[in-house]
Amino acid sequence: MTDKEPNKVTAWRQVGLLTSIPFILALAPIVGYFLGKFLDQKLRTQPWLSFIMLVLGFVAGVRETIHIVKMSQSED
Amino acid sequence: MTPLIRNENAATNPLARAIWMSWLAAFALAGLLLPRAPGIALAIVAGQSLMAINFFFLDKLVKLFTHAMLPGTGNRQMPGRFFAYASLKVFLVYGGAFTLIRTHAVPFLPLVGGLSLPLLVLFLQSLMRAAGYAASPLARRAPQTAATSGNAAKLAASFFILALLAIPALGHASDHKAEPVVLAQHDPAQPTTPANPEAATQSEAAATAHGEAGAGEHASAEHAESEGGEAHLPNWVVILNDYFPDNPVVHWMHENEYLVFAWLAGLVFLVVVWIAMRNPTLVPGQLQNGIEWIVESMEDVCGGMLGKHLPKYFPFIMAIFFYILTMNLIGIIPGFKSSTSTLDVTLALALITFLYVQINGIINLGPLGYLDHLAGSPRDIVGFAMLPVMIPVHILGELVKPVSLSCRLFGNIFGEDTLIVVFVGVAALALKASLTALAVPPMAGITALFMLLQTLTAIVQALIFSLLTTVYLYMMLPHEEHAHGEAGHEHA
Repeated sequence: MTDKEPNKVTAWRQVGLLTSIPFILALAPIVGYFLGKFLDQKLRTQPWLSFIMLVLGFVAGVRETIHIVKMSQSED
Repeated sequence: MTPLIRNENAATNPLARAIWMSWLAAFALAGLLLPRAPGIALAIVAGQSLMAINFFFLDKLVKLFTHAMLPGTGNRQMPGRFFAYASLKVFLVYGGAFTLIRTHAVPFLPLVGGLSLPLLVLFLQSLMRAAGYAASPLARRAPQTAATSGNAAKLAASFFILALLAIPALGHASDHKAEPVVLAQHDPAQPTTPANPEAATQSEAAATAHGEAGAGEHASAEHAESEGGEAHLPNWVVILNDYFPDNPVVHWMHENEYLVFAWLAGLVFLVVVWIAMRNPTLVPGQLQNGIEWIVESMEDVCGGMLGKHLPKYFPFIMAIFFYILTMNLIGIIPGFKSSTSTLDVTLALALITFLYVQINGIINLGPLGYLDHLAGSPRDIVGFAMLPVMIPVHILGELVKPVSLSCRLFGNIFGEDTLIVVFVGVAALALKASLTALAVPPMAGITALFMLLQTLTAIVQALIFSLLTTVYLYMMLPHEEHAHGEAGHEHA
């Protein structure tokens, strides 16, 4: 591998990782909500699980985002 | 004194060439339109003349300005000629345009079209230049690059022809638009008849949830979605379905056209790679060289992350990459469709990736290690106390990855497809309004540009999908294997 390769790798990895942040942030609460809704229907706990999962989804989104930023910054 | 702007003669000056080209185009258009709509022809020529005059004066002004500003000349005063030219330009061009528009001497839209003709030619010219096709000594080229610039021209020409081909296809679509009403009428009526086997299988599948009527609704809703809900260019399956509406095979293909095109893409991919690698030689041919270059580049990129695990995962990553790439690229050909422009296909791909990553995670980390990973690797009392919260958060985080992967791929490819549909649609509308000569060349040009853009998006999205797969695989590797990576510490 030549000297230029790691830069290219890092650049592409960063593009891939960082551009997925908006999707993760937006989709995590949505996925959480629908998962909670599905569980609500199964367990008959109508509004609760969907709400809790929505919040948890939001937390997961933020957490993934922090994780992604950390990963993209790490030299490899 | 060396002139700042060289290439004074019209043969090499890019601006002069563009103006000449646009004159040719304007006269060709006007000649075509003259028998049918003399007003429009006149407006195009008038717009073209105005813009040519504009460029003429602009050229003079820029030359005067740069000479006056040249450090060596000493004379920093703007010559009187500068202001004379400027006022003449304002008077002729803006005054002329204003008069033409206010007096309604010529129709407005063709006038604007005429005005934008030289700009369009310049735009296309600069794009050709950027693609490496330039006949200008501004960037002096080595003789051997003549072949590559010829290739770029061929590429541009083929995109242009493809765009032209796409337009009659939409002409067909606008005829086709009238049909959904009829189809929607008789579709729910015969959901279980043998003529409609797909609806029958759907009714079997949906019988538990919806019952018979539900299946009929389902089929018609799906039909409406594929017919009128979104803008689509008709592909050969749709056309085939028009000619043989009663053939069950054709009907099934029409109902599952994304599946058909996904299979087709897989087949194309297999055939291309088979041809390329049929008898590999040490000095590779063009195709073999191309494929090897892609594989080697991806090997470098993925190897940087996966290290010694690369041989194990590389086949999967490359299969995903080539498959998505082929599916994306196949949509550029008129009459074909990108299977990745539907969420079903991208979600399926992402689910495969998800399962592959999770199963590999269980294999690599062991069942206990995997559970530890899901729990966020608690190492202290606070970590264990947070377990009930952290486990759902982690599961959600893992779940959202495939969803985001699929949404991104779907969004990009669908967006590009829709963009081309819109522009081809404008051309088709103009076709209907018998403005063929006016509409087709610029619209085909713009569509060709978007096709270039789509090619780029297709490659980048395939690359990003496979790269993120690599990243997710990397996250699931055992801890000590990627201890050099910062992120590994925290996650695995």
